[in-house]
Amino acid sequence: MLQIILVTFALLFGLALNAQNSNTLSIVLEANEAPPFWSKTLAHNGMGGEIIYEISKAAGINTSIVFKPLSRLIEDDTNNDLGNPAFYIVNQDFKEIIPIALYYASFYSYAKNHKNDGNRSKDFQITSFDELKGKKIGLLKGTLIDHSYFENKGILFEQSYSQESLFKKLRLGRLDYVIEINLVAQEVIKKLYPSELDNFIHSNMNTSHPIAIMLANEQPNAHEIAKKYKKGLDEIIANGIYRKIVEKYYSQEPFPENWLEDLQRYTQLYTLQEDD
Amino acid sequence: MHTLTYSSIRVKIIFLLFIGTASISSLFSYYNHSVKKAYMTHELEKDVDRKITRLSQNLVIPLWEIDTQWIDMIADTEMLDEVVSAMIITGEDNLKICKKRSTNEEIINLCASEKEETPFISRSLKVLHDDKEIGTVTVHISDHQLNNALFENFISNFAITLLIIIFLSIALYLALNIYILNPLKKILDVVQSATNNDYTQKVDIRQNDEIGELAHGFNTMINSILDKEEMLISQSRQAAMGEMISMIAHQWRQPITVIAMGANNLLINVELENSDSETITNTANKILEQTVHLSKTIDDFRNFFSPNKHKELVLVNDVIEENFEVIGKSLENNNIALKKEYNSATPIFIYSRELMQVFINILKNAKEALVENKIKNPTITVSTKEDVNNVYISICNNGTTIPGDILLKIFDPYFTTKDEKNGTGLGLYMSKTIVEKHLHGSINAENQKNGGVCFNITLPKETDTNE
Repeated sequence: MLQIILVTFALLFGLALNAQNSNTLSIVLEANEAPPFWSKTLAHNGMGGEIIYEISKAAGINTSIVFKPLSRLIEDDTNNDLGNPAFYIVNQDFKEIIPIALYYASFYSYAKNHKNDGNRSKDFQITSFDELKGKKIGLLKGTLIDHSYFENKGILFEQSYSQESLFKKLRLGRLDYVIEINLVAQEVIKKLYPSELDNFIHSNMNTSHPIAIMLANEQPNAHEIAKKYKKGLDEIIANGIYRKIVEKYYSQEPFPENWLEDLQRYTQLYTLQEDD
Repeated sequence: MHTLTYSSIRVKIIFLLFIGTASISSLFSYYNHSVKKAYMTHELEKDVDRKITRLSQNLVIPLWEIDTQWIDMIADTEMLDEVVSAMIITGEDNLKICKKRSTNEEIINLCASEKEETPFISRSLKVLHDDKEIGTVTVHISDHQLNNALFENFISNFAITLLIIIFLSIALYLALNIYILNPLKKILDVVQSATNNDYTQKVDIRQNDEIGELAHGFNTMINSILDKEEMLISQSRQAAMGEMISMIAHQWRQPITVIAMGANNLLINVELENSDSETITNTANKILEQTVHLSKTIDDFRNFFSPNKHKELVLVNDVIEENFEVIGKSLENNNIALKKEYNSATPIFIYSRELMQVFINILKNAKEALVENKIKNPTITVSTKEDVNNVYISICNNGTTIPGDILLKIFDPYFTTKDEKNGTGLGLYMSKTIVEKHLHGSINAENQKNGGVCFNITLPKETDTNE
């Protein structure tokens, strides 16, 4: 059941093809601002940016990224369900989806507001919807596709327009939990409340989700570009560059054990859907 | 004698209208300004109440979200309204957003200090979420825009009011002009003519109001003055007649004596039977000669007293000579020498009998002055001359001069230096009246350097007989 919630974050890192190739293939991708994954203010445009850069270098493609404000995701939530390949293939016009990285999400809470329940240590774990009954959970607007499913189970969702709002509300007790991508949440908490890092505790969902390059349906040579990107990805995984990049951004977390397997699984999943 | 400087009533009315116009415009504009200010202030307060209510509603979600960017955007949007001078939004999590309009109209993120002047209007409202206070919003309103609007309103109202009142003032001025000022001007013109002894002008105003009454009254007064003047002329003529009768009596005494003596001689000669036809004839001729003289004397006086209602073309020298026929004997009897210097040869169209009356008055006065002052070698010099426009007559005597204060008054009515028996004080006044009003000339008196007085008469050369 928790899987249904998690898919709502997928498009945060979706990329769309936006340019035409020439002799040297040049691709312009769009990405939503979501540090540390994507941000024009970070070195090499964040973790995703660094991976794209190395893949492109290996594939012989000039790739540039245009960053869009997060409001794009909020204003138009019809294409946000990247985590559900069937949904995407049916409803969207992408010719190729190439997973290049993963992310993990967690339930976050503010320990001081949970003195009377057990969720005030870093070890707390939410395992079922029953634990969330009657609780108010904060989400970034545009990331939840189906409210009614959860509301029927007595779970209250409150959407915010920014991650900062979510964590401010969490701290003031206006929310019981916030669901957020781990690395993003850490960035936001560090920025807002650097002295209170220990008060923000989280419960990992232990499920990965893909970050992908998505090539528009109108792109005439999408398959050729996809092949090149996949070849580049395989090359940087093989030469260890990929692992170094991921480890740099997950420095405070253990490198996910099943990262490469999961990435492979998503690649196969999208490939299968396309073949169907 | 009044020494006030003349200033037209039109100027005064225009000045009063200007002052009145400016005052009424100012008062009305001030009243309008006050009313408008109260109204606009009331409306502004209502707007501010609506604004703060709407703002507190719009801020519920942003403050609940503690989304400073969102709140900032709302505050910036509200600050676009130029009446807002400052805005303070507070919320939980130490949220405080301040906006302030700087002196150069820029919006800056700064909280207004307490030292700054008190805002014209200030409103604060709590922001509630599910009945729980999550923040406050405060809006300060400056009166800058209000004052600008009021100033523009004041100027436009003042201009409109001024234009309307100027228009009404012009209309009022025109009405005053038609119904009061122009009639007053007409009356004034006639008054000025009357002041110059010209009573021939009448006020032609036909209004059934006070001005009409005034004009009618003035015309009646003019008529009364004319009647009085006629009466004075008549009185003067009666006085002159008395003088003439005295002269007739004096002039008739000698011929009557001659006739009586002739008749007596004839009777003696008849009684003495000493009469011959030649003596009788001579005596009868003498008697006849004297009766002819008496008859001529009667004709002269009759001409003088006969009514002269019509002008006639005469030579001034002839009128003077005719005058001497009447008064010459009297001058001769008083041993007064008569000098004549006639240098005028153009007949003029005048009332000759009235001119003669003037000469009689002047010559009689000259004779009396010479006799009373026992002047040696008394002489009266009469001279005439002319130019293109006028005939000039001077009648001078070699008597004593007239003191200056008296000289100024000798033409005033009822002014005389003689005793009551010998003077009425009307002679020279009537002479001046006749010369100026009837003969359209002028007369003055001046002392001569070597003694004596000259009366100078100027008559226009009126030759048009078509009266």
